[in-house]
Amino acid sequence: MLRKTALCTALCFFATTPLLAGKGGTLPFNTDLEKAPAAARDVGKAQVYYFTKDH
Amino acid sequence: MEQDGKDLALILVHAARGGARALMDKYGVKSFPTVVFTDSEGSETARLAGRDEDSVARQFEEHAKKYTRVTPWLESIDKAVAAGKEANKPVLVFAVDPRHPASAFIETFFAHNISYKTVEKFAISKVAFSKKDKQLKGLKIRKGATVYYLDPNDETLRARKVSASDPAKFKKQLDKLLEKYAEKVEKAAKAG
Repeated sequence: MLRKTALCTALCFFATTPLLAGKGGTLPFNTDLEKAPAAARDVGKAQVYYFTKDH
Repeated sequence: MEQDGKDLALILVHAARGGARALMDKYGVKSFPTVVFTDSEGSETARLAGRDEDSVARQFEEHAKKYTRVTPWLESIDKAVAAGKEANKPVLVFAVDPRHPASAFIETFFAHNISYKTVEKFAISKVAFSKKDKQLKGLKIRKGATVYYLDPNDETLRARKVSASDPAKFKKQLDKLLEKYAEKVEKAAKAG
């Protein structure tokens, strides 16, 4: 539980911090699970998957 | 490396949505939230380890630095031509004019819009544009913030402009140039 809370705190931080966030104030997460990984592979971008039940 | 998500593909997987199950199985995700870091091919490299703002930010930054491919710019036209000759690749020269907004736009194309597999088929260089530069003049590179094509095997090197007004057109042109170059190489091999 403690671990989960810490993770939630960290992830809330991702979504709001100006350090990581784009101009809109949130990270530009892509939700297209078919196209996003393929597009990343094509241009050689490393990927970060955020698995959640809460959004 | 930028930290605004441009150097990483950030993918949100909601457990209840279509396609999530396959990814959860692939990465063995059993609890939520879980953050999985992968290379560009999708092989897992790490999980979120940070528990504070600084270490989380650092992990994102280091992950991008280590696993996102960067455009393999060569610092001079001579180096690109030599590399092109050695590896039998056509050459692209990006004449950068920092005062021109199109320069940043073109750099973004290379970093984020063009397949690295296409980019790696060229020897590419990025040089500062100056009207007074004798080498650029000799190659007929007369405009900054512009991409030029060169055949490294041509005896009289002459640059041809490649229009980079939008990523789709740019990609098509690069594919066409690669195709033509391959045909030329094949013809030369048959003749020689």
